Amino acid sequence: MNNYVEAFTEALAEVSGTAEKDKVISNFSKLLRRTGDIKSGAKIAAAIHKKMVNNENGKWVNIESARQLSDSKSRSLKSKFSKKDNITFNINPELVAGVRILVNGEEELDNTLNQKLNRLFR
Amino acid sequence: MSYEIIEKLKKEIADYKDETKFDHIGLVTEVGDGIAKIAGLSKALSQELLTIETKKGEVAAIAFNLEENFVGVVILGEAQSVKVGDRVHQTGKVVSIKVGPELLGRVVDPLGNSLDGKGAIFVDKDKPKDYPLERSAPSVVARESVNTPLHTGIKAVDAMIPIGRGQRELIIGDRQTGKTAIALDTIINQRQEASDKRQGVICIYVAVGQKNSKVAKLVKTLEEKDALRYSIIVSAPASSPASVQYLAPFAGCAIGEFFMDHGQDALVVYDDLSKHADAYRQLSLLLRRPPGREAYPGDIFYLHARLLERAAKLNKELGGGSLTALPIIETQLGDVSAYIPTNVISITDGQIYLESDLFYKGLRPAINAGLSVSRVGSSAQTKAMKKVAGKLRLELAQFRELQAFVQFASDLDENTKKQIGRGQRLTEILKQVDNEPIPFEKQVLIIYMATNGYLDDVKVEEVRSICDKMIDKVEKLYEDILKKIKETGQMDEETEAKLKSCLEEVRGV
Repeated sequence: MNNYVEAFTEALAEVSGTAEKDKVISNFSKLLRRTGDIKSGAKIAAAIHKKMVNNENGKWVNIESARQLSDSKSRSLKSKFSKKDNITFNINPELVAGVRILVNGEEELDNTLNQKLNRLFR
Repeated sequence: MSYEIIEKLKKEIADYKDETKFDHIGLVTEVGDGIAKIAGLSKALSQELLTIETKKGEVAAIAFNLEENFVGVVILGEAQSVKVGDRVHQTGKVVSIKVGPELLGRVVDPLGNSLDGKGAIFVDKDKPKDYPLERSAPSVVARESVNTPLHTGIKAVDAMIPIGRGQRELIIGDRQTGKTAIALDTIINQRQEASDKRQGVICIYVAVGQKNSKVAKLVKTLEEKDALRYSIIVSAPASSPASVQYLAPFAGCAIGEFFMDHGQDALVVYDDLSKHADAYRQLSLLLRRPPGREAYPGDIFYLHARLLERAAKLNKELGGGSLTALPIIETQLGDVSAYIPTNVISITDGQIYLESDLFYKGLRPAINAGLSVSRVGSSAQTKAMKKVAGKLRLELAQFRELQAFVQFASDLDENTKKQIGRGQRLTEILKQVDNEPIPFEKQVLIIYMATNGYLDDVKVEEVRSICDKMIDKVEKLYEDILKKIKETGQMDEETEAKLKSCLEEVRGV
């Protein structure tokens, strides 16, 4: 999968103009269909998106909360990050309360009640 | 009372501080057969202990393969509870075991958890020390050459293949040839070795891939022989995951190192390294490391070399402690030229080779004296034993050459007949029953009697019983001779003269 991501992002960076970029995208999807890897298309697309965000010095951020956050809270959280960052919100009732922020899939800021209770009883 | 509890809880809650900070985590992306692939954790260390958050609680794992995009880990606990998407945390610690004198008499798993149902091992939580399972071996400067004997209580071993404290002596042989029995006798013998002047040896028995019933039997034997109080059993039975079996010898070694660092002598028995190699092969293949000869990974030699290299005799500045290793290897149909046996033979300082043919002939322990060697032990052998054993080796070697002519006994000349007779009697006195090790001073006496012709007139089948009677008499009438040999480790001319006159007296009892 990494090879696809590398090849596609490099091919895209080498061309300019919307028409040429569209051609690269359509050729890439044809290639995936031919090799049969179109089955993992969603995964490859997500990896490409991640790579492109990282290439532009952005971060891939996932914010998990126990309940749906209000608009003002979401806006306030979003404002903590740069515009280049890709921010997604998820709901996970297991967290009980608070939020858990995961940056680039490996740096985590866990401020949930679930984690605090776990730590208290460990 | 309840008021007090509530107040205490309130105080605890008020004092509770929790700083939220960024933490490095990973996510399980693949799991199966006790192995998992983790995405993230780019800062993980090799051999670092990780914790996987599962629905059923935390499960420990070790970082094994650090690759560009993922980390290959070996799960130490319940692998079935680990699911894709579970979060993995670093602990910053390499795998270690809690060690202390409290471990004596206990049965533990390679992570230090009690397996004998006797409750918690360490009551005071500050007391035990964390010893890493992987540690580099003592350097050249820290070592001293082997100079103290480690008596096994087995005549054939102590006389012809002497083991020194700090040595690595391999016990090799087919299945059911008495490999574990030799190790067990050695452990039991350490009880009679301890005296006021010399401290006893702490024994650690590591069971890798053994049947639980065998381990239970061993523990019972040690208990009956009053040997459990100075022994520790590290058990990774056949039912435990390969990862736990892989860690067991390293855990045993770490426990031994604790005693060595405290100036004591320790003995560690690895039973057996063939199964350990199999467990490591399983892990390596599942982690997709390239297979080599007999499908073992490329670093299988290093695995055993780094384990056995940790056996050492430390110099006086470092306390003078020692760690002796008795690794066991099981061969298939006596094939010592297989991959793992040759590896371990080349790593160790000698081997005790057991043969099934000898075993079925009734020669027990079934030690092949010709193929067994000890490369460093002779410098640690007591002078008394050296004196009598030299003759024994020579006469046995001569007997082996003449053995083919035994059936033509009537046609042979007197001298050859005499040599054969002596050889048969020497072979007979080397026979010994299980779990009854003989103190070294008595061994010296028995071998002295046999090599100096005191048993030549006795019928071969009666040699053992007559010998026992004579020893009994000497013990009762001339206790001082045995005592002197035990204390000084020597047989000077005066003692020898005394011994001669006493043996003449008890001859033919």
